[in-house]
Amino acid sequence: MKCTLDGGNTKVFAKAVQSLSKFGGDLFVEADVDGMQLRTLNPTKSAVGTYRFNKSFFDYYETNQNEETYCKIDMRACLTVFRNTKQVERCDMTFIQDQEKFQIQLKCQHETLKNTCISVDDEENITAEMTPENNCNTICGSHKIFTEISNNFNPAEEEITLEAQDKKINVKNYVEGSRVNEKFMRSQLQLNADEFDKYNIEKQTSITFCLKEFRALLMFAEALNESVCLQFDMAGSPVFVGISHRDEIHCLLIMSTLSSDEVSFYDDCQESDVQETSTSKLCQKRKLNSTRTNDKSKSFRRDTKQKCITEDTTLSNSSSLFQFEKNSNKRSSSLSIAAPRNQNPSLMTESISDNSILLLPAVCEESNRIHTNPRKQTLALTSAEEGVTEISSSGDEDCVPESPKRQERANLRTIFSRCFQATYVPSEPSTHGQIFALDSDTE
Amino acid sequence: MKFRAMMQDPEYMREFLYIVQTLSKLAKTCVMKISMDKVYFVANEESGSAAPLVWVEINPKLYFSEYTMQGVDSEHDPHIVLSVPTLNLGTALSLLRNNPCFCKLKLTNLQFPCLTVDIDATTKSSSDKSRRAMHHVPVDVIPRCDWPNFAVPVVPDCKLVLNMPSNRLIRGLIDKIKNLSPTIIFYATSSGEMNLVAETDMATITTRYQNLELRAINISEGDKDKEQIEASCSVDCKKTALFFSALQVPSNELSCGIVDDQLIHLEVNIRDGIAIHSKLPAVCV
Repeated sequence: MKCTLDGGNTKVFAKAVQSLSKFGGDLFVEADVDGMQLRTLNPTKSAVGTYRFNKSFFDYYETNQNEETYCKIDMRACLTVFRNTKQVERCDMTFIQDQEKFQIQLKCQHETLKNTCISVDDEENITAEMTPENNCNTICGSHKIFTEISNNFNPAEEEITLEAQDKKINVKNYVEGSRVNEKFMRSQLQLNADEFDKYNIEKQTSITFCLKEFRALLMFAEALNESVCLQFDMAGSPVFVGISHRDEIHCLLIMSTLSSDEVSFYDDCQESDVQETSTSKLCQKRKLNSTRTNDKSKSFRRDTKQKCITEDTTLSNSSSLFQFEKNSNKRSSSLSIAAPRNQNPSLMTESISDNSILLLPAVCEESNRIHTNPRKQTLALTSAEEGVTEISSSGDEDCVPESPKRQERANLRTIFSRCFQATYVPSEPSTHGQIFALDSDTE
Repeated sequence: MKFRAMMQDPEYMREFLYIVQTLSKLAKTCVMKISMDKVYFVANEESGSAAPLVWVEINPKLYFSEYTMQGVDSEHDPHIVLSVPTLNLGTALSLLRNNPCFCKLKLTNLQFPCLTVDIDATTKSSSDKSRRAMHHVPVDVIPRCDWPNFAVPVVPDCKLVLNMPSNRLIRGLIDKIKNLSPTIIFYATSSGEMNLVAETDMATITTRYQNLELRAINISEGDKDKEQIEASCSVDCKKTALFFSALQVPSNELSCGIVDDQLIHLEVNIRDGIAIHSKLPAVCV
């Protein structure tokens, strides 16, 4: 594959690489007859960004017929090459040494030639065969409005929830369960539908996705001065963010969304009066800790209640991107396997995290066991009842009265409720989380 | 404890945003002291950071159309003292850039004490397009026993106070001097001349500003007969540079007061009753 770009287009290409570098560490370069595309995955493999450059974008573009060259190179190496493109007049890219190295030649002003050879890590590519359906919700708007929306949130904010209604849209930051112990900021922005160029909501939904990758794409949209299009279905299905520039550049960002069972702790707060604590700050911290644990248990109970409610009302739990099904240990209706949200079998990548594979059977075991326990209990109860009826029917004095059944100590159940649950709580990790250590106790 | 304030003038709201943005460039958290007459934001000198001591004085009756506060009950002047994260507050107020209708600030308690910011902004094109933003910024309530640690700094009695030329000129100059010498000497005379002097091993660089307006002058006993009163003080260049580069407000009214060899007092007077102050202590050359 050989291609040449002029100065202006090199700058655009550089902006694309800079935007993709915010995603992840590897850049997948794929070249086929129609053009070249740059793809990358984020570390948790919950988002894939594809920037496709058509043949017409290049001054000169040549590939071997019917051959698709694809490779994986280090993102940082590519970023260093395209860091400063102020003086670049021309850029030549090609594969040399029998597809083992990717060569980038930058011809700059004052007769300077910068030559970089990046060694190809691997010959592999990503396939993410997902296209947005025709009847899903669509929101298109200029990059300005989306940038204003994202500026409303902290730069460190990880996930946002988009609640799309008929005439309005509500954007909130997503607060995950494990953050209840800290002080977090809650932000919310409400916009009218008329602020967008195209606002077509078939079904009112609310989706939650990562802000970091969205911001990276917005950066490129700003560079191109183009509008951004969001297409999504319901919670759990992926969201497609696309940019289309003059038929030369097409960008698509596919991000996973949290399933509808994940409840944000955003609304879990009740207003009360601010009290002054008379102790000093040190003591204050200790006191706050004890109240926080209480709050966490209370809010967790509320969370599980809400989870059950959402299960009733959601249309489907499974999605194309995720094999995530809720582990419902309170109701024996569906025996389900909880899989980590990041796992995506449709993406063919070389390194499927070993952690997630190990976690899967462990969780299966737990869920199976917890499921069998209530079943056993119910069986025991029914047999006991049968026994009672038999005894009463015989009605003799020799019958030894049955020992009193253990009363349901409701208190114990709620205080030690956490002990009876699986250690892996699906509500806690986020799409951004990485599992560094497995559950220590698999029993 | 209750605190509720509402702003309705778009110009005032934009200024408030700039003030908070200035503070966010200087310190990570600032102390907000609320009382019936004044609202203060104090950005303390944090150990390890080069930021100067900056405090903002706001007259709430001017800025806020509605203002109610109920401090910690005591016979003395009731106050509410909060420790506010500036970056979060800055993000929360970011919608104030687009012609807001009103902005409400409230102290609430949702799991932990928060400063609730409720902004209603309309976009420029038509009046029915409105945006609403609601933010809950977590704050720390500082108990009464800690209040003496967070006292508001006092404006010092300066020997000479002059109006400085615009921030744009000074900022560029001090940034360049920062690379040459660690200290910068402010020298002012009562005839309206201000010199910024930087001394290195090989050279002495002096920048003279003349015909500056004299704001205030405190003549002590020994100086009564002198024709020209002078004052000078050498301060840390990095702190000075930080202060000037952090200023986000349009600073036409920038004044500099010098207490001979003790400190420099910089004041940005945004409008009557609203001012940003900074005190830079003297350093040994």
